[in-house]
Amino acid sequence: MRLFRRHPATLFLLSSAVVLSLTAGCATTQASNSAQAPTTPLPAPNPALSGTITIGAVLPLTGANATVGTDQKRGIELAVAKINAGNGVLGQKLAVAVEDSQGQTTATIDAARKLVAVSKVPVVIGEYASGNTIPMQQFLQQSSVVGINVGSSSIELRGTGARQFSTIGLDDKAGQFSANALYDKGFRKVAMLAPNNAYGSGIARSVTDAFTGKGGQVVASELYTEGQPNYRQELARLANADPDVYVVTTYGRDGATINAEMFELAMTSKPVFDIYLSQDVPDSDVKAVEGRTGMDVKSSVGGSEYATYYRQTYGEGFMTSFSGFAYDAVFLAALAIEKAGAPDAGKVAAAVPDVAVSYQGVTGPLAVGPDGQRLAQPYTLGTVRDGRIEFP
Amino acid sequence: MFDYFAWIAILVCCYAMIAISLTIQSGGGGMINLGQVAFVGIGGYSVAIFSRAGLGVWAGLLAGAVIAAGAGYLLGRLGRTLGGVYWAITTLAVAELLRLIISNTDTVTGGMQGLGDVAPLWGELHGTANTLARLAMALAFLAAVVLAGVHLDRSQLGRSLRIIRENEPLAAALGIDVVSAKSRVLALSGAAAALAGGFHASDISFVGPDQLLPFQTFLALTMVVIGGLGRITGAVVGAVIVEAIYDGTRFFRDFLDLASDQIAALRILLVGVIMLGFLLLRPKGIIVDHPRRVRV
Amino acid sequence: MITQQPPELIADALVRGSTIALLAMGLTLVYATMRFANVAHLEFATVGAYATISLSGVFIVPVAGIIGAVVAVALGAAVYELVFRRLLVMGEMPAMIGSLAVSVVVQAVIQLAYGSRPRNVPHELEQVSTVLGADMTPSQVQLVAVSVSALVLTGALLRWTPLGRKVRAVAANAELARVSGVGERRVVATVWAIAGGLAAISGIELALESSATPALGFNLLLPVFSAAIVGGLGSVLGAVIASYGVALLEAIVLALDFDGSAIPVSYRPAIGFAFLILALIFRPRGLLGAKVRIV
Repeated sequence: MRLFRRHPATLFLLSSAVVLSLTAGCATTQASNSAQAPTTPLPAPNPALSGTITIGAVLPLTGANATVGTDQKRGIELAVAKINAGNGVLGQKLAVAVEDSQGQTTATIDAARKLVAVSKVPVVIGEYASGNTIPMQQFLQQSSVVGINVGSSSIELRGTGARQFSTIGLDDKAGQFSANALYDKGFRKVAMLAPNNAYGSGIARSVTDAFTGKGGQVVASELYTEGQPNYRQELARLANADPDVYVVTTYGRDGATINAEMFELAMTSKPVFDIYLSQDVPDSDVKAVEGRTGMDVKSSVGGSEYATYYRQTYGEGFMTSFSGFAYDAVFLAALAIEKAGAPDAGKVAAAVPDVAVSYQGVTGPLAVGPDGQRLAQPYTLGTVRDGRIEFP
Repeated sequence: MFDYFAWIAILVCCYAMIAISLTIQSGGGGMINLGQVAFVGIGGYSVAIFSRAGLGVWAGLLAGAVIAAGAGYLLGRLGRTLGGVYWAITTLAVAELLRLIISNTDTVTGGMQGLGDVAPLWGELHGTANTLARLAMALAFLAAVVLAGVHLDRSQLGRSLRIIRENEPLAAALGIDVVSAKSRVLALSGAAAALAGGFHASDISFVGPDQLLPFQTFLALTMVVIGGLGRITGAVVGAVIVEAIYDGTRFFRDFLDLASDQIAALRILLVGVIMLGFLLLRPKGIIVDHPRRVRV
Repeated sequence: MITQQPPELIADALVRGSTIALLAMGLTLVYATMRFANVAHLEFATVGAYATISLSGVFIVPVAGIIGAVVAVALGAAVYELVFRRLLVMGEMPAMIGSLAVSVVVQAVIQLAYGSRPRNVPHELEQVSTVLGADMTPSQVQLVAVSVSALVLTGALLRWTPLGRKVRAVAANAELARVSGVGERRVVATVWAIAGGLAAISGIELALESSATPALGFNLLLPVFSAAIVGGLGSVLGAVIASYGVALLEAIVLALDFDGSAIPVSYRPAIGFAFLILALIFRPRGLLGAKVRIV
C-alpha cells in the first residue's frame, strides 16, 4: 500500500489494466450481434382507426428466459401490427404495454400491479415460468382483471380463477404425450431431470404418472437448482440409476451447461429425450445435442402463413416455439374485447370462451374448457441435427 | 397513480419495521445479525400457511411472531459461546439454511414456487377503500413497532443493552446477565420482523423463497447504517431513503438504454455505495446527536 | 448405502475442496494478521474470473489468467487503501459490515458490465478420462493440480522464508511483532496480495472448469467461512484441512441412498452450514484454533 503512495504511477497503471479488461468484456458482448437476412417492416396501421385500447403483457425480457420472452414479444408485435392494419378493435388501435418480469416472481407481480393500477388494462398476457404466472394470475383474479397465460404449463393454472385463461396446453397433456412417445420407442426405464420450480416439478410429476401408468419405470428423478455453475452431482445420480433413456427438460444457460456436461460425462452414448426441445437446444453446444430426440408444441398449424410472416419480419426462423401462443393470445383478447363491446374486464372474460371456439389460432384450435384452459394442444416429435431441430 | 404511491408507502412501512427490528439489536447489544431475513420469512410463511389452511391471517401473524421470537431467543443463547464475527456468520448460515429448506420442501412451503393466494388482512373491500385500509393497517403496525422500540429504549433492558454495546466486560462486571439481555432483545426483534413479513405476505398475497435472499437483510442493514445504529427514528428515516432510492430508480429503465439485469445491478450498486458512504463519512448516522437532557 | 465408489468421492472432494481451500487459506491469513473478517474476500475470485474471461479474447488462457489475477489483486489493494483501512480503525464490526457493502458493490458492478448470465472461456467440449479410478475432465485435473501447488507453495513460504516468519509473528501477536521491529505494513501488504492472489486463482480455475456468474464468489461465502471457522479462525493449516473435510463430507452425504431416495443435491451448502453450526456449538475454538473467543 505504501508502494502506491510512493509510486502513484503503479496505482494508475494497475487501475487502467482493470478498466481495460472490464471494457474488453463489454466490447465482446456487443460484437456478438450477427448480420441477418433482409427484413420487411411490419404492416402499417390502418389510418381510419382513431384512439387506442391498451392491454398489458408481462414477459421475461431479461433473466434466464430472456430468449423466450423476446420471442413472445415478437409474437405480440406481429399480432398487433396485423390487427391494426385491419379493422383494429372497436374502431380503435390496439396497443400492448409490455413490462419486464425479469424472470422474478415479485417483479412479475409488481409489473402486473403497475399495469392494473397505472395503465388500467382489462387484460394482462404472460408470463412464461409457471412459478411467476400462477401468482400473477391469482393477483389478477383478486383485482378482477383478465389474465391470459401464454407460456406456462403447470396444471395448477386450472385453479387460478374464472377470469384466467391459457392459450398453451398444460403439462398433463405434455406429460401424457411424452410418456406415450417414450413407451412407443421401447424405453422402459427412464431417468428424469427437470428444474426445481413450479414448471419442472409439474412436468416431472405428470411424466412420471403417465409413464408408470403405462407400465414403465422411473428409476431416477432429479430436480436441479437453477443458476449453478455445474450439475455433475445431479447427472451422476441419473447415470448411476442405469436407465434406458435420459429425459431432460431444461432451458437457458442451465440447459447449455447440463447438455455440455452430459456430453463430457459420456452420458450422450445413451438416448436422450428432451421435453420442449426448442427451449433447450438453441443455447447449447452443437456437439452436445447432436442426435437428440424430443417433443415440442406445434408452433404453427394450419399453413405456414404465420411462419412466413415471422421470417419476413425478423429475417430468421422461429427463435422458440412460444411466439405463436402470444400471437394467439393478442388475437383472443382483441376478439373478446370486440365481442364484449368495451374494454371491460368482466365482459371480456365472459366473451373469451365464445370467441375461442371459433378462432383458429396459429397454434391450432384455441377452444377452452370450463376451467379456461385450452382443450386441444398439438404436439410433435423432433430430432436435433447440426444444431437445428427437425420436425417431420 | 395514488394506488402506486400507496403501495410504495406500505412497502416503506414494512421495511421500516424490519429496520427497527435490526437496529434494536445492533444499537442495543452491538450485535450484527446478517440473517434477519429469516425472521421476516418465518412471519411471511406462517401467515401464508395459516391462511391457506383456513385458520386465518391474524392467527398466522400471531403464530409467526411467537415462532420468530422463540427463534430469536435461541439465537441469543447461542451468543454465549460466539463472539461478534462468528455469531454474524452463524446468523447468515441459519437464514440460508432456512431458505434452502423452504426451497426444497414442496409440500408445506410450496418449494421454489412459493405460496400464493394468501388472503388479505381486510378482505372485502375493493378499489380505493381497499388501498386506504391497507395503508392504515401498515401505519398502525409500524406505530406499534415504533412504540415497542421506544419503550425498550427507555426500559431497564434498554439501559443494560446500551452498556453491553459500549463495554461488554463492564456490563458483565456490573452483574448484568448479558446473554439473557441479548436473547430478550432478539426475541423482540424476531417478533417485529415477523410481523413485517406476515403483513407483506398478506399484502401481495404471495410469499416465496426469493424474498429470503441475503440481499434483503443487506437493504435493512443499509437503512440501519443510514439511520444510525440503535436509533428508532433513524431506522424509519433510513427506510424512507433507501426505499425511495431503490424503488424510485425502478423507472431508470424508462430512460436508460440498458438490459433489465443491468438496471437491477445499477440500483443495487447505488444502495451499496450509499451504505459505504455513510459508513466512511457519517458512521453515527444521519440524525445529529443531541445530548440527552438530564433533569436535575 | 453409498452410491459412489471411494475414488469418485475423493475426486469430488478434491475438486470442491481445492476451490474452498484456496479461499479459506487467504481469508484466514487476513483475519489472523489484520483481525479483519473480510466478506468481500470472495470477490477476488469473481473479479479474477471475469478479468480472465475478458482477457482470454486477447491473450492465451494461461497468460490471461495471470493478468487476471494481477488485476484482482490490484483492485483489492485499491479497495483496501480507500475503504478498509479506514473502517478497520473504527473496529472489527464496522469493517465487516463495510466488507459486505463492498461485496455487494463489486457484484453489482460486474453484473452491470457483464450481465447476469453465466459467461465462460469458450472451449471445445472435453470428455472425462479415468484418473485413478474416478472420472475427471482435464479442467478438473488442472484445477486440482494448480490449486494444490498454490497451497503447498504458500505453505512453504509461510514456513520457511523470513517473510513467512514475519507473517506468523504478526498473526501470533501483532503488538509484540511491531515492537520487535517486524515491518507490519509490509507484512499486511504481502498477506493481502497473497490472499488475493490465491482467491483469484480459485475463481479463475472455477470459471475455466464450469462458468462464471456475478455471484461466483459470494455463493462460496458460507462454505469458505465454515471451513475457516471450523479450522480455527487463525490457523491456516486448519482452514485447509477443514476445507477438504467439508468437501468430503458433502460428497459422502450426497452419495447416500436411502432405499431409492437421496438427499436433494440443492442441500449441498446446508451440509457445510450444519457442520459449522454444530462445530461452533460444541467446539468454538475450531479444529486447530489457538485463540479462545470470549463473549
